[in-house]
Amino acid sequence: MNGAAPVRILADGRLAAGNRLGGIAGLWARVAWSDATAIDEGALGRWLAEVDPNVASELALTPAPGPADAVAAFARVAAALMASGRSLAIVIDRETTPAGRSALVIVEEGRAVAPERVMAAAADLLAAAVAGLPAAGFRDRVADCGAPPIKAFLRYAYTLIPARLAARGAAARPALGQRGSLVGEGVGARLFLFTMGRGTGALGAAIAARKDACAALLSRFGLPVPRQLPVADADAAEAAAGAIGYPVVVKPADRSGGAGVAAGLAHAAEVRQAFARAAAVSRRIVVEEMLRGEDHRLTVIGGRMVAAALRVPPEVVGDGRRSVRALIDAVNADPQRGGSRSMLLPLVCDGETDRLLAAAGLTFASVPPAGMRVRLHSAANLTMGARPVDVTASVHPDNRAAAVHAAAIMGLDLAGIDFISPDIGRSWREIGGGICEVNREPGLLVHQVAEGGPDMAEACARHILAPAPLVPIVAVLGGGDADAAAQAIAAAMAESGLAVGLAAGRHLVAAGLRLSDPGPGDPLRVTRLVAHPAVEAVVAAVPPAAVVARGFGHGRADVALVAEPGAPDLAAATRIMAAIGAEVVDGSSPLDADLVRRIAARRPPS
Amino acid sequence: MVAVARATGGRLRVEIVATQSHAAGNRFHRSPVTVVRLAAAAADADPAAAHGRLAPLLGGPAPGDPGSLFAATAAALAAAAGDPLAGTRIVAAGEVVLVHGATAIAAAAATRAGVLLAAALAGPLPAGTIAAAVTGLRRTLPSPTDRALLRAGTARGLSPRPGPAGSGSHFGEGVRMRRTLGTVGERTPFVSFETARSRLLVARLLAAHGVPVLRLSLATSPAAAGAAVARLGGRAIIRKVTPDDGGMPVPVSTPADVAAAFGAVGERAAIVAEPPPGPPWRFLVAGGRSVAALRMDPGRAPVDATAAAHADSHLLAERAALVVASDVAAVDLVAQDMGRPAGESGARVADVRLGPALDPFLAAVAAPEALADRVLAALLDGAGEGRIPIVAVAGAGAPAVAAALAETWRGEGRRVGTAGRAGLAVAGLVLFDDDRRGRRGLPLLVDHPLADAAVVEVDADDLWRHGLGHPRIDVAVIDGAVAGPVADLLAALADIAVVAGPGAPPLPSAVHAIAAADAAGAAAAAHAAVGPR
Repeated sequence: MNGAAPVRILADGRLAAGNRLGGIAGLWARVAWSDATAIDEGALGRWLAEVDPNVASELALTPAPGPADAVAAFARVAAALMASGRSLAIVIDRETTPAGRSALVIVEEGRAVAPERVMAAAADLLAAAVAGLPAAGFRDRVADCGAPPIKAFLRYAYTLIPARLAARGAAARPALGQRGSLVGEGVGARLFLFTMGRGTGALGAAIAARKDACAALLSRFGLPVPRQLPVADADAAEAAAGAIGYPVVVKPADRSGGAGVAAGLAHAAEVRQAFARAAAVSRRIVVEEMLRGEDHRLTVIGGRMVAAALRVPPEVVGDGRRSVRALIDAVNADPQRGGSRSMLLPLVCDGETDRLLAAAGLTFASVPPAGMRVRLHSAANLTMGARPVDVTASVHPDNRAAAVHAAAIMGLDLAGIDFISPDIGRSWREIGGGICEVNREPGLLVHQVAEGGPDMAEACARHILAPAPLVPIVAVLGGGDADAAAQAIAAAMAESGLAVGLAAGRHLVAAGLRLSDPGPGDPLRVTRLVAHPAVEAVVAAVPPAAVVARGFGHGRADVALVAEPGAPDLAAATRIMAAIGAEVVDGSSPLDADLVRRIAARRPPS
Repeated sequence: MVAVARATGGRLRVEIVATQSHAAGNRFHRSPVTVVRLAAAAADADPAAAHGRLAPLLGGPAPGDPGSLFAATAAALAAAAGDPLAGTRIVAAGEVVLVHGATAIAAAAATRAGVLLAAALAGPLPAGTIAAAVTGLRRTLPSPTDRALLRAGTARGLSPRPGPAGSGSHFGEGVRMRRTLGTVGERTPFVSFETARSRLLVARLLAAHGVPVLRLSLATSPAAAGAAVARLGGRAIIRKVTPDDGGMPVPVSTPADVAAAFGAVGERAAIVAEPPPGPPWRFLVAGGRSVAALRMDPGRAPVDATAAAHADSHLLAERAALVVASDVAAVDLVAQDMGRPAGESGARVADVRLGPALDPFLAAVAAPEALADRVLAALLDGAGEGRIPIVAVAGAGAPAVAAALAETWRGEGRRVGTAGRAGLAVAGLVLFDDDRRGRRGLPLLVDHPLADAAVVEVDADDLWRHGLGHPRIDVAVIDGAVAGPVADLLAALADIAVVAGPGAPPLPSAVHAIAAADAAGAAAAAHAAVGPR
């Protein structure tokens, strides 16, 4: 793919947070491009859809940065590969020099399997689309570098909290060396993984992972839980069902997301089949009393029930004209179901659907009468295509209290309580119902999708952020002079009682601990100091040219002190530092004591 | 309870005819007790001979009566097993009260003491009999780590208790309660807990933060392990991926070594790490501070080296634990010389264990109780004294007094837990509607993490026969006729005062007694005695 290629990559690399995009990390590529090939947007989209529909869908949602030429198309493809439900920022800088013309393309780094391969893949995909090569040959390229291979709708869910955090001025960044994201700095840095943060304690999470232990614990405190019996084989399952009384639920005690769960089992044969299905995913199976009522999700954050949704199980409603199959297809044609930024999933049919249809005397070809509700699954999980309805305002205080008590007893700060009730507006003490599961990592979409529901992502963001203070961050721009100035500032701040993280010259020290040093000019130095959980202030000497070429290493700074007025790239570096919030200060004169006091005053509350 | 031991020996017979357990806060002691009734004694009994046969266990002069000999035997067994009783008492001829220490050891000790004493009375003991009894008893106990923490909790007055299955040990009451799973605190983030289960993930995490670590990689086959060893220059150690249980690192250098070591790990994957420069030192980090260090020389018992380790080494251990976000961690460091500053020692992290066993530290340090207390303090995470106000109300007027007090507290914004004849409720939610007086309700209130004050009605007869279910209360209210001894018991359990309403029996003069004219007055007096929120 040389010669006629629409873009040719001359050089590429990664940019740490604090670069021309602002406070976010990015990928850059310097490219040469050809005007010979016109880019047909429609054809590019159709070709990409054959490679990966989610990438094509993201491409369609990614706005064109400036003139729509080959460079812009290349940047958009790169962004689409990593987008995961959010349009990524793009900067394009075309320039012509005596040596020829080139463009610098910077794309925000999204969620990617291998970011370092994204730019090359984007160039090759664009060339292949223009050349009309078979799409099938490029699926591996996308999988090798693009967004992680999880369901698009989950990827989208993962972007919701970071988006809310960013809107509150607290951009989340990838955690160093572990899964999850960080928000806050130094001693105030907080790790979170989707909805799990510091408040999701090991003890509560361990109990929540075992549905049997969880039920036993809650029932000890008088909370309503279904009777549950562990069973080792199909015979035991049948006996347990007899002892509990039909209908019953069969489920694995240690799986989540509705895997292997079958509810509403009315007789022994169904129980035996359900046991076999559950046993395929787990060795710990329980038979459980079937609580009567509708399936609700009550979400508790920080001791309060903040949202409740009724989950309507996957179903279609007959119209007297269309077959079950046609009704399912009509529902799934809704663009909200499926796609890179959808919040609902398509209705899925499996063995349980066959069973439920048969029990209702139907097949996929039957035409149900108008108004007849045809259930496709008994469990109301979003992953099976369930549809939520917000009921936050109508939950009876006793039911709300039961959810709050359950979360507290489990030791979970944030929990999703699955609550069965014939009428969520009436007390469980009066009409029955109860808690059939406590989730330590509750999904957000169930409330986000429910019409009129509260913005759960916002509530989570507030909760994660609550005690996440920022620490003072000082960049000292320059060469050798900057090192001396940085050391002097660090010493003065340490004098005022702050545990300082310092990067200067050959020093990389976090609150007294010498860290492994990637070397002067490497943005990882700043990243490490800001992520260090004992640091109360960061002072880093950075060459301006390094800030421009590789990024600062963090998306925020308080002060950028210019220690060497003549340093190369100083103007561009100060622009970047100012854009991420730094007050640019002339530091060529002797150290200003007042400045140090002002910086130290930004100390986080301990 | 039924008879648990029966043995006849020679001319003296000692037989346990009944044992009964009383919940905490009973007429014998604040701790739970096991009461043993013995049928014993014959005229020509020779307790001295039995005492002599038990000499390795028992010191001092031979007790004159079988009951005392039994009590001494049970206490000595418990102490030898590592979990001393809180006390013993002879309350009547042949009636011995064994007071539980930090665990429920007394019941198990009673059984074994009965068997052992009967054997000693019967004749000379076969070699190893006493040791076997001690070992058997030790097996019924929680781990040494849990025992040390429970004892530390007792010393702090936190009424430590094992929680229901899977929920760890409980310290303190209600909203001030903290739960621990070994040395994993309730607030240890699950995300950290998961990371700490893999040496690979921990090493990646530390390395990404710039904390110096031993280089290591994960190998999923002997061939891959061999390649990893080659990358490390031909010498390496191989160990398990999970750090929880032992598994000493095995040095390897030849392909045969590698295959054998990989096989010995017995899992689908193993860690291949660069060979350490010397044996590791193990640092115990609790609440952000490195509180002890051990030299772990192979083939020798660990030696306390807290003072010998350089401050930089302690700092490195503290930071490794902080980056992994653990309340309590054991951090293994390796260095050329741990006593030198960081720049010279080349100290690196070889292992981080979140929620470690304390045994090696407790065995090696001079003041194990102080060490356990520091660890517990880290796990309690600022829970302070761990107490919520508790008021127990007895007598015919109890429901009215309890209701009035609960109402007053609720008016102050407290999340009150109430337990009585009509049921149990916490923070306005009715959880039970059956009889939850005394020991049927109070343990649930003190275990409930939302309750910030508790008022419990007491059934005098049940209290006398079985105990209260919790070792202490702040105020007892007696409103109505209650038997004198029951009133004395309530007074003994109350830390602050006893409020005496109409009909209450006279109280011992040492008790801080407050008189009240009616239920409303009694509730107001109890409220005032507890003090403001």
